[in-house]
Amino acid sequence: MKQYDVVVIGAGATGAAIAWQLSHYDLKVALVDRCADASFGVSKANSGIVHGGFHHSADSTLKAKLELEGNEMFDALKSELDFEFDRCGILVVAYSEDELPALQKLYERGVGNKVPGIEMCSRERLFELEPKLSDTAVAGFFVPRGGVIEPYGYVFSLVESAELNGVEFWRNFQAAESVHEGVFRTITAADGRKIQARFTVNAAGLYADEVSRICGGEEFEIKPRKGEEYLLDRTSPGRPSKVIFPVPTPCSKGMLVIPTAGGTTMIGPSATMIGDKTENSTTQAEREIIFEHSQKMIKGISERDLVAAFSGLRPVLPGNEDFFIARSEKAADLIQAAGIQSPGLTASPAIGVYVKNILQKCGLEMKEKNSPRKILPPKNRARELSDEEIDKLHADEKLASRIICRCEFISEAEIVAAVHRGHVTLDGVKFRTRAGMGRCQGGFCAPKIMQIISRESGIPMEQLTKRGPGSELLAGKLGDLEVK
Amino acid sequence: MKKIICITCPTGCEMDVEYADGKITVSGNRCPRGASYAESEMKDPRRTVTAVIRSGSGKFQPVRTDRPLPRNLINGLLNSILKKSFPEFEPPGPPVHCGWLRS
Amino acid sequence: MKNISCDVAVIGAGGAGLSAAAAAAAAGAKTIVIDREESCGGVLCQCIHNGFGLRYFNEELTGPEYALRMEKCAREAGADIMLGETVSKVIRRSDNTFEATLFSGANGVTRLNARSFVFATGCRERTRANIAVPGDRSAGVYTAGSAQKLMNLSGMLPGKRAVIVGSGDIGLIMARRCRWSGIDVAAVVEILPEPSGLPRNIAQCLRDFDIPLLLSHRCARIIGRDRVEAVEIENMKTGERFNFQCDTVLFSVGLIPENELLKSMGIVMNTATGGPCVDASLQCAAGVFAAGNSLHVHDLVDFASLEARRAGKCAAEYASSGTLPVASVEVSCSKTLKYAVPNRCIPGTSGEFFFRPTVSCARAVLRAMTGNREIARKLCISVRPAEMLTMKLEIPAGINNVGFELEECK
Repeated sequence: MKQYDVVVIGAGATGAAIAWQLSHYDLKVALVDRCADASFGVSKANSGIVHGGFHHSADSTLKAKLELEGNEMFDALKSELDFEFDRCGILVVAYSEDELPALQKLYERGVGNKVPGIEMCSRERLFELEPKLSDTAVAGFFVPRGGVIEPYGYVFSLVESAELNGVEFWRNFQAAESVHEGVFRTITAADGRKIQARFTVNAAGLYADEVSRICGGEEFEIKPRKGEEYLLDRTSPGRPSKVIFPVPTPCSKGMLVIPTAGGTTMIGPSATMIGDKTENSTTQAEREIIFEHSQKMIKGISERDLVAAFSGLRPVLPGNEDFFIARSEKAADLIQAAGIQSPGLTASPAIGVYVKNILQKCGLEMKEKNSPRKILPPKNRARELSDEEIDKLHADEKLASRIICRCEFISEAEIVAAVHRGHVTLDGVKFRTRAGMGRCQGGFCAPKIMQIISRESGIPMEQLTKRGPGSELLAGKLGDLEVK
Repeated sequence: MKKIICITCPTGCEMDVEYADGKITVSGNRCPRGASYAESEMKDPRRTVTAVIRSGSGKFQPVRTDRPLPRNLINGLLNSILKKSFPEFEPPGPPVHCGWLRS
Repeated sequence: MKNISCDVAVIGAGGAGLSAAAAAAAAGAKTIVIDREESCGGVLCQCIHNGFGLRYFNEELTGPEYALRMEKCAREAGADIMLGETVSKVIRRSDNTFEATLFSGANGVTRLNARSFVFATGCRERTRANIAVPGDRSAGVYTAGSAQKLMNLSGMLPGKRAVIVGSGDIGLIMARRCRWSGIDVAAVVEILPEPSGLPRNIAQCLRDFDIPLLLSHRCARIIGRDRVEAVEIENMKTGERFNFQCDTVLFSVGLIPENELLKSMGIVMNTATGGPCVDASLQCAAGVFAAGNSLHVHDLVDFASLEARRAGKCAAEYASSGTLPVASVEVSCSKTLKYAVPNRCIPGTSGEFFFRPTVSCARAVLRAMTGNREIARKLCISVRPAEMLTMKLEIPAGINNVGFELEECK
């Protein structure tokens, strides 16, 4: 059985950032996830905002502290990990006089939290910053250090870098049972695989309650709150230059208009408490509401430009407004990182450090690795490279100039690299490369991508999945069924 | 009287076909091909069958029958070719030698 | 980085592009056709069914056969064909020639210089998202064309029991293709009160197999957390909802002309066609021509090929002379016509026009008017939105507008 110093359960933004942080030390670390790939749970449908630090009070909450710290860490992370990130700034906009008191209060909280560069804006200044705002905008404030990030790209980069530096990533590992004996806890997966670790970090998102329970930790229940998001074509005239927030409501930061880091426009999310942690559907009713709201915020948003619709679940820890990040009081080897909803993605780099410090306090020796850190190879995104750069790459790698996804301009080399990094599902390749994420939604390239995955991974076509077991893409080969 | 749609060309004439005492009367067709299609459809309905077959290299090649086939033979034909591989059939480009499946 | 040059460059080696290239080369232009796929034919390669070619070749052919014939025409006329090359951009240079940038595995990045360009870039299928079908994001949801590609080019089965959404020709053809591969087809559902595909495809692809066609029904939701388990169907007239159990949903809900390259050149699209506005030479800007499904969605490839000849011929003429006759006659159409192509024509010449009706009727008269004066008329039989109408017209000298009207014969 494999033995580790630390096992991190959950390879979303939180778990990945923790594992990545730990990969700097002389430790044996495992990262496990119930899904077929990293970020396939809560993180894949994240809005991808690097928040500005004004939503929560820094005096009283871990959320605001880690949000502000996390925000400042992204520049360094991006330069090492090469994910899509743009500090485009955030505008919070009031669309009626009634909202002005709430806007003022939020602004003052930001000032109190020492948000860098926060600026109250006149109507004139607002339109100078964002000419696409709808005419009903009355006032707002600007947070220049806010931004957007590609959430799955970020998580994948963390995991791949962690793997490169010694962390072992176990896919399709659904922690089902655990026994603590001596210095080790043994965790058994639903499929029977077992691993042992001295410390366990619970970053299991929606399933943090279950993981806490099987580890003998605190009893709590995670409730999913669903958010639907709608993605518009990169040519949409409704793409703003900054993230546009309305004045928030008590339970949600509201529906946003987001110029995504990948170049598209996203509108949403909605916020609906639901009971089922596997519910991921979209509804006509929410779509109509989201379009109506966003059209009131920004000019040029149209259903004509709709490219994709999806939904995600936030892991809400009822009764606890803050993140729950602490050593368990009931199981001494268990570190809880639960209830990580917004601004979890922004906070995640700081959560990584915070959990590392907790582990250190628990007695885990943290010795920095002697060997130099291994750096991921460049992603060589055809969409971002110049023609000359692509031609130069072609001298060594023919596939660098062979374009597979026409809508997002993704080369075969990018897809092959994704498969070689272990992303062998169609969604895994899509999240890693953006292939199939554009206007044709894989109509042209999905069959080609499936062939590339099959060729590079050795998995037969008919066994390929969209996102893991159960989501098989094909039913077999011609001739397998009787013609009747 | 039976209403049928002519499938011989994209115009798709809607035809009324009367079949009594072995004699067929067709109306609604805009060309003679309609009348002969209607007659065949009443007496011995046939279709041209197209499919793909697995060639020697594992690639798939489109094929067609060289003439319309009686409808009741189509499933048998498809079941026999879909399960087989045809190593001897390796044309250079996409199609298809008409009549190749005759044997 | 390689540099190549020619007189006429054609983007897209499908039924339209090859035909345009054949015409351009026949007119004496050094012509290159570029396609991103590794073989000619575009979507024809996966359309293994017969039914093509009656109008162009006077013979009924399958898609691959049509493609091969057309490729032969282009090559015999002297056109060069570059396959596996993706065009990322086309720019107009200061000397009024054009430069395209091409990407391929074989050649890396290539700059292609041409005096004129024909865009025959085809179209893409509308997706589930384009018609905003809510529900789960299950595996097993395909556009009809990508399922067709998986079956006919890779020999794979997309599922075991399908529901087909939309009664366009690709959906109907796929219904039969499914049955001829052992895949059950629960139903074809169409939101409109009448089918959008050709009557002969209703006959040979649905009736032959007793596949139900549910008109005035829509797909209201997809159900299935991992793989499709069912679709919820709504009767548009009664609001009644029910489920079909299935593991596959194929969407055949229309085509969108692919004009991202033209748009990036600043060329304005016609909202009625989704393609560029063109004159009688099928020119949308000096030296820039469009043909085939990227100009407007055709019902038959034969028409796309016939139309593209004109684009190829005019592109060759432009390449050699640098000018074309000025198309000063504005073309408009009545509400019973969705559009007329081209949008401008040349007085004193003969022109050919393509239309899409918005109405269905047994007989209708198509009139060409200038002001209140009728200049031509044509009787049209069994008019349907699914089928294009065409009209050849001698355009009188000295006029500045032509309006087309379609009127039902009572």
